[in-house]
Amino acid sequence: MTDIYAESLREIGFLNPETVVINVDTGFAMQTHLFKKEFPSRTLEMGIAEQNAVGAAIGLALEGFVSLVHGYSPFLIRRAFDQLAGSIMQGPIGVKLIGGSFGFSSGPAGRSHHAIADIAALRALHNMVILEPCDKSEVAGAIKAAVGYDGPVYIRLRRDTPPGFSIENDLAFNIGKGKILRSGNDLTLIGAGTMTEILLQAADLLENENIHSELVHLPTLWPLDSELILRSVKGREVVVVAENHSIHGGVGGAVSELLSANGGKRVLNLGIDEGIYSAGSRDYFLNKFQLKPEQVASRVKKILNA
Amino acid sequence: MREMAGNPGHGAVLKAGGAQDVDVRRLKLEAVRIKKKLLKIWFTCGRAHLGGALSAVEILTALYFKVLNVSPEDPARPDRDRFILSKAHAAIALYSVLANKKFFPESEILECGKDGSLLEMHLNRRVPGVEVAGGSLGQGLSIGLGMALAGRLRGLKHRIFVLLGDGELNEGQVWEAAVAAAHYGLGNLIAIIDCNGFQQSGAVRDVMNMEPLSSKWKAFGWEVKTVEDGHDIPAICGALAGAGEAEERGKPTVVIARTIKGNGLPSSEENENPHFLGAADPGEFHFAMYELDRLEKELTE
Repeated sequence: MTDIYAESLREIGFLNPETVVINVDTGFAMQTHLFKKEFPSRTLEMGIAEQNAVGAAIGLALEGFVSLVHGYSPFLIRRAFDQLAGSIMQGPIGVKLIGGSFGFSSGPAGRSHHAIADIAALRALHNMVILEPCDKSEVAGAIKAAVGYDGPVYIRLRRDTPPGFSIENDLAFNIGKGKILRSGNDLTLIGAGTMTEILLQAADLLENENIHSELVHLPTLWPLDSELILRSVKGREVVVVAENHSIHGGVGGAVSELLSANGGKRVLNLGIDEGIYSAGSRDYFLNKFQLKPEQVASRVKKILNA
Repeated sequence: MREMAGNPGHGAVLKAGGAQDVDVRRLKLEAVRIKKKLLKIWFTCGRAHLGGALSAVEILTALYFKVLNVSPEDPARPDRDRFILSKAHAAIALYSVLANKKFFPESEILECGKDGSLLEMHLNRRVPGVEVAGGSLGQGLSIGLGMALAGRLRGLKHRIFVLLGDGELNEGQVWEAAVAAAHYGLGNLIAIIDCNGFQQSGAVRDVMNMEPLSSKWKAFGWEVKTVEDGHDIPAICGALAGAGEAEERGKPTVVIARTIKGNGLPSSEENENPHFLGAADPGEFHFAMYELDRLEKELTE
């Protein structure tokens, strides 16, 4: 996934001469090297200092540049949260955050490297767009859309997507717009970014048992595509949301807020439901948090039969 | 007034001989008028960060009436100098300056802090002339760093001035920015420290001693200038003269100005730490205004 990211970033560098890449010692990890090779003066190293990096990004953005700050999600969002809140106070300026290691995607690195509250924190600021592309085409689309958007954007960039995975959907990447990937009348499944991959497999397993789900894929996690979600849940009583984030305050929380204000549905939030845990692989965490396709299918059946 | 057209040049040295006296008098008069406005805000609103605003008046006067090439007629001019008030709790001082510079109508001033007012007690960018919103301490120098890098990328020769408080230097982010500014050799970035010696809960030396400031900044790679009396306008202008002269790769400059918190207000100067003052005592307000009126008269004669 990062190869396509590095390529897309370089392409953006050519298309938009106002783009500036900012690294917090993350040039290697976040694959900004191709951009740096082409545009050395527009690549700014800020060292391991997220607060200052976001501050400098604000200064550059106030001067009309599009600042692309690359960091690890946990440190970028937690450490520079006050600065990010401040960036919103400056008005719709071009501060873009590209975070790797969100959720448990850097599993073996340990709990310190898991951003499990970034969506909760940022969406409460109101004016922050949060994107989570799920395949190569969405990665390229997300960064282009972020640069073109008038205001701050945070991209949760997964660095370990298996090569070849694609949702095979040719809809253009539009900020704020979700996509219906499967149709079915028994329930609505909502995949937050990369978790759509799991829900597609779970939907297949359910289909084998004659349970038909409508699958809504959200490459924009915030603001929610409320219109699409409300349309999808019409006539369906059960809604299941999967996200690589704490089950508190994230996309599941946002969907629950939306639905409770619109008549209410039975909502099952699937995600990280513990605060302290051991390190492990992605597979280990999917299993631990009961997020493997077969586990999801069985949890769906349970709520349908409840 | 500095010439606005063409290359503004960076010399802020006051004119020699008789002209110098006229210039100093003019600047002193501006400072008095700014103080009068500031006190009116305090009196009308009933509360204000008066101490830290009064300590910065002469610094702001020197900047806005002598040093900065900014103008309300062309507020977005690309090569204008940028000013960031990082100690944004001194907002009422900046509002008074901007009103006197005619960036917005005088009438806004007395609405400061009221329900739905344009002028908040900390800075927002809806206020004409305010470049950067603020209120959370320690962030202004980083933003100035980004602006200085932007100036270099665009090949512009303007300067970026950031005014910080000495208590604000407690924030680690200030020092992250200091390191980065020296790393990038940003000669176009100038920090000014309003060293009034106090932060909210006490003297800076007791709460979190930041001295020795001069050697700290030197060690961080900055050019250091000290102004022993930060209320002496010619001295401030002198320290800022030539600062940020466009070198392609230079050193950032810091001006350490020693000031008095609550300067000019009798009870405020007696009060050990006039950080945030509540309702103004009418007697004291009128006394201070009387003194300022007298000074104003003296300077206009």
